[in-house]
Amino acid sequence: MKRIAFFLVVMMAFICFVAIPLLAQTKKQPAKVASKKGTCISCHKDIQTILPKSHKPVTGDTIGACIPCHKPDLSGKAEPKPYASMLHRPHVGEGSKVDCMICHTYQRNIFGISGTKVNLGKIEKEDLDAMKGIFSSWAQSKNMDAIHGKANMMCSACHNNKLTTKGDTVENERCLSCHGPLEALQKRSEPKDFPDRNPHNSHLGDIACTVCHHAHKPSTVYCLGCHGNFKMKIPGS
Amino acid sequence: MYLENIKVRVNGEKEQELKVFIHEVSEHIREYKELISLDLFRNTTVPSDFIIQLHWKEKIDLKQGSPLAYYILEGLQKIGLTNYTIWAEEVIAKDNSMQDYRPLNDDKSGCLINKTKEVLSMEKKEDDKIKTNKVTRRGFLKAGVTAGVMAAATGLALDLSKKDAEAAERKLPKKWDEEIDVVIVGSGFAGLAAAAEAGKKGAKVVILEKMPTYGGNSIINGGVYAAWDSKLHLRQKKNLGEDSPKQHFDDTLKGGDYYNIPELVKNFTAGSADALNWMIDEGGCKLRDAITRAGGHSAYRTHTVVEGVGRGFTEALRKIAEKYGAKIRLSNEITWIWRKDTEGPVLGVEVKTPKGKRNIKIKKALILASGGFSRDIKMRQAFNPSIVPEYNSTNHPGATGECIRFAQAIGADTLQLAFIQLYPFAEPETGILDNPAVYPFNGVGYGLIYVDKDGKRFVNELERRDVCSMAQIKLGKKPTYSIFNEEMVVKMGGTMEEIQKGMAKGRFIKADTIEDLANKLKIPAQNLVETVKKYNQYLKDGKDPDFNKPITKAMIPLDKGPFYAVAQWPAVHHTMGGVRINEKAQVIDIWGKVIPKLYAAGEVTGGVHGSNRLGSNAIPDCVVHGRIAGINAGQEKA
Repeated sequence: MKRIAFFLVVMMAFICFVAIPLLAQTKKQPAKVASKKGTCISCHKDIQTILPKSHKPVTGDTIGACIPCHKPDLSGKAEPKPYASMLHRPHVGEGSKVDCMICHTYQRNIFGISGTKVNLGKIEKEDLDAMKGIFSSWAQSKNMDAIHGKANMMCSACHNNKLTTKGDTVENERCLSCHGPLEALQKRSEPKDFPDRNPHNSHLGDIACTVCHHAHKPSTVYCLGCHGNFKMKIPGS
Repeated sequence: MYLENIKVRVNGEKEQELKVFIHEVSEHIREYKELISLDLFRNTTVPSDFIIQLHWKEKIDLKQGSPLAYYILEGLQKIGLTNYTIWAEEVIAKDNSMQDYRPLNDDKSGCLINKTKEVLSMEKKEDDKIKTNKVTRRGFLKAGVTAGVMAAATGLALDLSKKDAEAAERKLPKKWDEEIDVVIVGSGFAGLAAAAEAGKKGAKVVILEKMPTYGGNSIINGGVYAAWDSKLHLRQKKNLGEDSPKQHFDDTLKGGDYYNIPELVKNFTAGSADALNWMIDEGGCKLRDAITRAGGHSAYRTHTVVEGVGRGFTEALRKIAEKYGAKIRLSNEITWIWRKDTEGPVLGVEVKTPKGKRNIKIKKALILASGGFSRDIKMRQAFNPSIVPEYNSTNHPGATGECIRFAQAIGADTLQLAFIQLYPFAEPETGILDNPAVYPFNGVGYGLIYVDKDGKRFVNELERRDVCSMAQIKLGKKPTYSIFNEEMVVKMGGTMEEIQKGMAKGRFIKADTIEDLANKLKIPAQNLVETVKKYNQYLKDGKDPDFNKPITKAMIPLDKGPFYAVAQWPAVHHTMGGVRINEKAQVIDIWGKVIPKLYAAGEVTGGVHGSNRLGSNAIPDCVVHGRIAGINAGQEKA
């Protein structure tokens, strides 16, 4: 028994001090090469180096090369969508201010994907600009969108199958499809000390989740507007 | 010798700029032959204010103030003047060293002009339009008094009396985004009641609510409703004496020191029973089997809704409103009321929505039901500086009164904005009106008493809210306590379940004897025992020689435990003043005319409650006037 334990410790040490740094070395940082604008190889000289080993060779140098296999899906099922998630995250996070238009097209208010005929929908310029900020929040902030982002959930998980416009909101049913049913949620959030200080079962009755839970800006506890002495916390604040 | 005083206030950071500017001006005063001296002082009582004193040889124009004063104010506006006051005095030499000052104008205050930031910003825009001949600083000083300068100075005020004047400094929208029959601002008691009635008349009704939840302050209100009767006839069944609309009317006027507009009081005291029945019948509202006599009322007429909070009424009203097709739009805040001129009707509203700005054209009417301004410290201070910023408030954060200013901007008259009520029994730490905070209000008719930290009574518990609040404040020791026993709980409209909940939160303190109760409250036990003993005797005697409380047979002596206590302290609760309405709930302008298609109801209006609103009169006021506004608005021609 002791031998097995010792062996495990040695293995762990090996993994930590030798294997991980080795792996990290093999994952090369993208080389910044001045090249034709609007293609993947503008930054990633050899696309193969940033793909998983098992990935079959890629031909082509734009996002168009990915689409035949990784079909864009805006069906809006509240499911994780690792491909779109993984692709967006490194490109919109801090320090990688990649122009959306390298992979996307925007003509006559139609938002699409470069090198394809994919039509993601109609969107106003103002909303498109806002989307950049929202993606950045999703990729790296402390807001609720980032919490969902970490679970590889994309916009469509909450916003259904269409592009969002200013002031769009998310209906309670949508939130409750994962976090519900409401009764169970109320049970979970019931404070042990004061059961009637339950934020999900308050004297304000049936209110929108978004009163407190803001996706793209810090969430706030609405109760505290009057009950300043309550000790309440909210994720994504 | 004459003294002209200009009291000014600028933003804190700009004080240095103010001093530099005044210094600059003082270097040129020789150009004014009549001017003896110019001095700048900091106001010792209000250190954020400065006083500029101009000593003149000759008498100054009392209507205008001197041109130099206006020149100074103009300069200070560029720096960031927030408000100013001008007054003038004659300096009379008494003897060699003493001087006496006599105000020059008849007005007791001696004040010529007093303006706030809002007025100034409007004036500035107006002024910019008027000023065609630009007056430079040097040129002005050299010119002294010139016609052009006087025009700039006197033309500052927005002249609403001109028929061709746009009712504000803002241009009407070129196109409307939407047309709606009746738009209601606010989703509290008044707004919902109005929506129900206007909807019933067949109008398309939209309620705009700026907060992300419906119900405003009403949904967190104490849930008590004064009516002389209802279909349940609780007072009669419990054999608690007589009452009538007239008696309710008289109490309300007396409680408001007769500042109330009698027609409006008559509206709601006569209509309150019917409105209550309406909520019971059509809205499914349920009342507790209790009726109480509250401070300032001479009868047992305060009804409590089953929920024990205003939500019991707002839910009933919402149900009726939605039945008649009214829609509530949350997070929709109005930012302007559109009116073309001072004769015509209200045309529409500008609204900030989550999707951006919208201009809504109003076909039938606009109803303001936007509540009071208890949570707007600046506005409170502007009208009643004695309500200092340190006071807590029972209100929700949205009670900020901007709609009163929007109404003023299109010519609406306002009244009694200085009357601001403190709720005497709020939770001392945060100022909220939680469920236990209703007990001190509901219990007095059944013998509940108030004691201070020394264990002594300090007021006639059946007194009005303003009296109870001031009595506490004058004690100077926070908090005070209500003392009651278990026998009173259900009679005063409470429940043992509420008592248990309140105890779990540390709000209600329970003890089997008065002595124990005092020890738990950490107040002198001997005093409290003595106070209660004396008080019980007063009930037997039917007379309260200490505070002259009218003793009734419904009052229960504090001789049997368990006893309870709840801590209490005043917090800003209700703003009695607001826009002026007539008995049809139509808004009246500053010339006494009806503003066509504009109605108002509820706390946004003034004059209903006079100087002090009696507790449990708010809901009947809101519901009855809301209904009146809704019926009349729904009948307007599109």
